[in-house]
Amino acid sequence: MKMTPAAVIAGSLLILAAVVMVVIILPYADTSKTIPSDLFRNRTQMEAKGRDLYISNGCVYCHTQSIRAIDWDLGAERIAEAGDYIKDHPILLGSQRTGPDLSQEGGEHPDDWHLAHFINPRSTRPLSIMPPFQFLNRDNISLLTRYVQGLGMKDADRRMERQTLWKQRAVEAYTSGVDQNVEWLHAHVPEGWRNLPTPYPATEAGLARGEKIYQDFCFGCHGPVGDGMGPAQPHIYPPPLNFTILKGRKISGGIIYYQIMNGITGTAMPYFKRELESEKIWDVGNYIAKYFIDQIDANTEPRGIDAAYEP
Amino acid sequence: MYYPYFLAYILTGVFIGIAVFLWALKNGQFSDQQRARFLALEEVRPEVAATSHGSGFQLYFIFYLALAGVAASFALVGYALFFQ
Amino acid sequence: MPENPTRPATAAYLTARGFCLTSAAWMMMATLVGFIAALELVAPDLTANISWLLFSRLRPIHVNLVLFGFVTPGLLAGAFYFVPRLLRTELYSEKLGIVTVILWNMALVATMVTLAAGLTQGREYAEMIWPIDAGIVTAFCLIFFNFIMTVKHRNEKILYVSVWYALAAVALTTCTYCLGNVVWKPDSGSLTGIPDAILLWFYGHNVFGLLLTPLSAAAAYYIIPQVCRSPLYSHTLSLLGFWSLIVIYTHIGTHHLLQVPVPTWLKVVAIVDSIAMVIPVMAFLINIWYTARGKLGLIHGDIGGKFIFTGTIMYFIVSILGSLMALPDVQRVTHFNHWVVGHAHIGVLGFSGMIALGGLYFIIPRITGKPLFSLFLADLQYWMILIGVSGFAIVLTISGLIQGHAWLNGETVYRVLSEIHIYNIIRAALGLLIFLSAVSGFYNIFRSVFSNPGENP
Repeated sequence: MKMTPAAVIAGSLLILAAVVMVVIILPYADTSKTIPSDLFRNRTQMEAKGRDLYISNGCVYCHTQSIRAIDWDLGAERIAEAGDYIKDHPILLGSQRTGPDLSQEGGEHPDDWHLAHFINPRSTRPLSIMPPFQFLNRDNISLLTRYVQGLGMKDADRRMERQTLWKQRAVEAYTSGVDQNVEWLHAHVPEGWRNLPTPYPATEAGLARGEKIYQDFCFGCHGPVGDGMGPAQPHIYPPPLNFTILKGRKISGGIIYYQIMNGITGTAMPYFKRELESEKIWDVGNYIAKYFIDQIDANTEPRGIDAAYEP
Repeated sequence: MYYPYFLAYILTGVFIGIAVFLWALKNGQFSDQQRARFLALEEVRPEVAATSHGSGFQLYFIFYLALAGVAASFALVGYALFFQ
Repeated sequence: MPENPTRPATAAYLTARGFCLTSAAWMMMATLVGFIAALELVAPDLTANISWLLFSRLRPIHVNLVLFGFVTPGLLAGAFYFVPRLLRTELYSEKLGIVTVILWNMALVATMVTLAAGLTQGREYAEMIWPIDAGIVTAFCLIFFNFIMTVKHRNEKILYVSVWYALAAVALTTCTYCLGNVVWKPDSGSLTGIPDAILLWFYGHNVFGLLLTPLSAAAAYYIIPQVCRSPLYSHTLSLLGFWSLIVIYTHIGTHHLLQVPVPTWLKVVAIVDSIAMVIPVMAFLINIWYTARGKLGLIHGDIGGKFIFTGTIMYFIVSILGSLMALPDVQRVTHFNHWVVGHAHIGVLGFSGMIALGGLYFIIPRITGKPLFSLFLADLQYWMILIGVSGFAIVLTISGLIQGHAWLNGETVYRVLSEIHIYNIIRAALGLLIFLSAVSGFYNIFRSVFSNPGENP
């Protein structure tokens, strides 16, 4: 083939034009008819400002907003639809999941958790490798928080309503004194769980596992000695629970397990059922009970049939 | 159902391709190509001495700098692997 | 054909010299930024509260400086040397070339400063704000004008394959850059919703497909036959490779979006063409490798040839990986994790970066008329990069597999962080190696161009 300059340039530009027609223009025609998804809503002005901060600080390089059918982590309840993105420009799908996907982050945590987390992510998540964003002033952090709390759109709004409702009740309980607070906390654990002692013994190995779990997940808020004075404490209200006050206040292994599994909506205490399997929760519960509460009910009756693994 | 469109698209491409190829063959587009293979060679090779001309001091300095870098890299890995 | 008139050595190939130094200098900056970013993955509080050293601001700086600061200028340096040589003429205008080099460097400084300050459009590979886009497009236009005018004044009728690639790379990238950066919408530089993702990955993938790959292929097609002292294996294969590259590579951007709600037919196109990438890749590689058949000793003896031949092997690896990763079943594991980062490093550092450096080391003695300042340093750099990029590939593939399989089996992202910690440490160590290789390379190239103690032959 005679590769004259005209053949090279006109030929390659023609090919490019044809391909652009097929892979850009046709899909554009195809996807620009997309209708809003069932949970779509417009962003508020604050959320839009927060989104600008999200873009300028490069959050998109570590956080995707693209839930796939194969996902298990945060947001997996709702697979992404084209109609979720119709007002996104630019679209922030992301290409790396160095941190969790944020499509459905809105309402997972209350605002004070986000404040502590933005100031230093390791305050609430000890193993996090996210950079600290303290340099953004409080105003910008709260804008960013508004954006993050809106991720998930209508679903996020429902979760935020829940957070606001329970935050109010948690603050009321906290301000009415230690006894009432503990009573309130326990009252929301279903009866069956409240009367349940830890069915497994607090073995040396189990306590060691519990300690590691505590350090990887809990100590940012509850502190290294369980007194609720972790690095996140100054930013969180009601403040993290001081475990040492629980002694003699009808605490049980079941209550600890349930609260870790389910979290306490409205407070900064998240649920851990997605991250920790059963044994890990019992282990960290035993660790807290033995070393911080100083009152442990591990392996006491009623405990059912002997577990097969026990020594 | 996008298959018919696909098929039409592919067939169009194939037919255009064949037509262009036949035209090119007839047109003599593929004749006299052998010289093209030699074009990269038709140059006077500049006489380039293959020796290093850096002054001793600078070369050694850079060499040690590089060596220090390699050592630091290995030390970092070693530290990570064995002392954590 | 008439040969080049002899010119004073200092005036010759000024543009190529300019791009040599541009590439060598920005390689240091790009790899330093990458190294710091890698350290922050290990020690996230390392640069706490220094906004412009935030990991998430360094990452786009690293990516853009590697693409447009180190690799592209390195390959352009080669092109500004071999395009006139192959056409048996001089560059149309060295003055225009120098203006281009200056404009290019201004755009790079502006890129670094704006991204560090958080002025970004937030689209991967298309982060630069509009004024910088305008500068880069202008630079590409100037380069195209310079090349096409050189072609017009050529003394050799037949265009060699390297010239096709250089012309096509510059012409096509000018178009895709404008398109991908949505230059007709200066405020946001983006479309809205799913079409934005489709356009972005069309463009993002074509930075490799229509800029780095053709320019790298051009350098290999020019330098390997010279080093081997044998003609190109096949002209027909180079025709096949050239046209199939442009047809197929442009189709595959959507393989980044297989798990996203984009039209299924578009995903099918992207997957089929990703597999079909074997055609242009192997047409090029067979051509180069058969040209070098039985001549590996000559390649080993020439530092430029050695870099470039290694680059072609990396091209083979990265292309096979790329085709595999486009298979939906494979992508379930590899998507969103370090595997992809490893793949990108094999491609940009191992393939086009190695070839850019090979081009520099090949042309510098020929444009200065003096031997390289230090062959030893160049060889040292070769080994540091080879070890570094192989290490990246191994470490990031391992940690990517850990992430991918853990996620697929129900672990959360947070729980997997501690499992890949050690690999992040090794990655940072290898990053240090690459940065130091860039420092020694810059010193060598700077001394070779400016204060070379070697004698004129």
